[in-house]
Amino acid sequence: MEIDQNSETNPLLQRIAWLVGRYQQGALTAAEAEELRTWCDVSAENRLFFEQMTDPDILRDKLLQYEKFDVTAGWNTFSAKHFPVKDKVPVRPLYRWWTAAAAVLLLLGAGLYFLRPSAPPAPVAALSTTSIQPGTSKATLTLADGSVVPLDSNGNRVITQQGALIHLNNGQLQYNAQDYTAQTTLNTLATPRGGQFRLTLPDGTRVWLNAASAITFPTAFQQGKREVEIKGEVYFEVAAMAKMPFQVKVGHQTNIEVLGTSFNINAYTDEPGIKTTLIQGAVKVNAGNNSRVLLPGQQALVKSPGNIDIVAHADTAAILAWKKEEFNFRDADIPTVMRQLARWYDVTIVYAGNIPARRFQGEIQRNLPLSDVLEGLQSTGIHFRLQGRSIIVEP
Amino acid sequence: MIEEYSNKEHILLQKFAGGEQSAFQFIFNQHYKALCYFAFTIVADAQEAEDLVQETFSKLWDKRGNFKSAANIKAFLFIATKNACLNFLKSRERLNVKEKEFSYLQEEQVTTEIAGFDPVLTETEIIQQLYREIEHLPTQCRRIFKMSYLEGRKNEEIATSLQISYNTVRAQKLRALKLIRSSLIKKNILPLLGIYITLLKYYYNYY
Repeated sequence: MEIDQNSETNPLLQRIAWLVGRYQQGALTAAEAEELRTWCDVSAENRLFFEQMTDPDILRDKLLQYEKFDVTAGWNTFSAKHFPVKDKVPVRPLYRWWTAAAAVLLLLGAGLYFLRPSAPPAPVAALSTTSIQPGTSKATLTLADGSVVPLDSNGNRVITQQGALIHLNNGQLQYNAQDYTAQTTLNTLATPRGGQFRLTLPDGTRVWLNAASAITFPTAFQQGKREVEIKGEVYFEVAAMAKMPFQVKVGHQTNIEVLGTSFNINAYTDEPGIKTTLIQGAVKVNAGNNSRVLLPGQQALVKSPGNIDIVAHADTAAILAWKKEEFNFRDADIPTVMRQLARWYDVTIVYAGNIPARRFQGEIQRNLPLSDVLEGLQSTGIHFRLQGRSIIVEP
Repeated sequence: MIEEYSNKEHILLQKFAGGEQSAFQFIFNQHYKALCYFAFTIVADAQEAEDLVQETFSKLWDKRGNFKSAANIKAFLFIATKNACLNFLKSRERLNVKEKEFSYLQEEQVTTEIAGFDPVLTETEIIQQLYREIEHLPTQCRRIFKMSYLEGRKNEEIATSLQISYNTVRAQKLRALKLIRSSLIKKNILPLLGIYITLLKYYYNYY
């Protein structure tokens, strides 16, 4: 299916246009005049075309007619039908936004440093004297006796506790069960806003905690069952143990049953629902009286007890970006972007007016200062001010 | 440049196939007015033209996974719109009337290809390009050009209503023409240069 009709490429059209131009300048040779006449005689519409395109009044009427078709109204009609959820999005800025998004993605091809624009937009940093740094590896470990051990990425240590040896190595915590018969005690590892941490449970299961998240687990798993409870966002690579099913409790109503598998749970209370995304293996999501088994690549969204929605093809790269020290936004609205920034940079988001109805696209390294990230976002036409540890989003 | 463009196009197509609103809207914005104009030229009814174009975009939405290039999408849009217009005319039994003006409508009713010289399509492209050039003029220049050429207002009137001098109006009109001309030359859009001379004729007539 080709239209060989582009004014730039169609040789016949080029020729006719040239003849018309010469005609209007009164510069046609006799042979050229004959050529144009012949062309006009070929069909009624050729003649009509020639007459109309050389008449300034007709040309004006045509331009006026063209001007009347309203692309904004047209899009509103169309999007109300095909994008019903997003029909509040104003039409005008998105055209430019996509262009900006394309530019951002293009730069991304050259590396992940795309958020350092070569022509700097109004610098966000200038509005704030203190630089807000990204999150780091830090957490607190609450032991069974209630004592709290602060952890960071520096130093290696061994913490002894009844029944378990806990090794701290470069921002990772590893549990080595010593005595499975000892009385089980519960520990909690929690990250603050602006923190992340990794943990290996006594069974070998590996756990990644995103910012403002927590996991409660026994220092040694007893026969028959492995049970943990989480808050916030946690990624699991569960060690396979056929006779000891692994269970993750999320709040009061939801738990995830696992065999050997890897999956991500996003259960931040300020996000819309609990999202469980399966990467490998199989998990069963139980919510209230309802349960669903996920296949790899699927996501279960639990918005209310007993209600499980399945996303057949979840964007796993975007979902797991945090584990790779990146933000990855795909068609994300501003509040979604801001919630992630708030947790990672430990800042507060203030909307100065209506929330701009833009949607974002792109990947950003998480180890950049906040000002760099905001500059990148600002280049897409959203305006921010930084006041202390608050990002003020201008309407 | 070319690489950058094709890269951009590639990303656009990917997002388009994935049903992303922003990509779809980009395509919509690019072609909507031209398609409406194209349809209007065939069916001679502005409201009907817009409805037909809406249907065309719905069809495009359904087939969004099938396109390999932006040119592909454009071809689909114009062919589908043309077919929709022909079907519309047929259903209204107005074909006989329109035949006199557009004999090409007598060809096969449903086309999958537009070959050779299609005057309606060519006209649409020319008007679209020219309108784009006008829209890209600097604000004051555009305003004066539109008031004078599109609204047919006299220099004195424009000067009074914008509270500027008569000479400024003249200067801005000339500037508009120069800018359009140099933009057309830069883009190497030869067919439009003929049209540009049509614009000049207008200036000679109305100075």
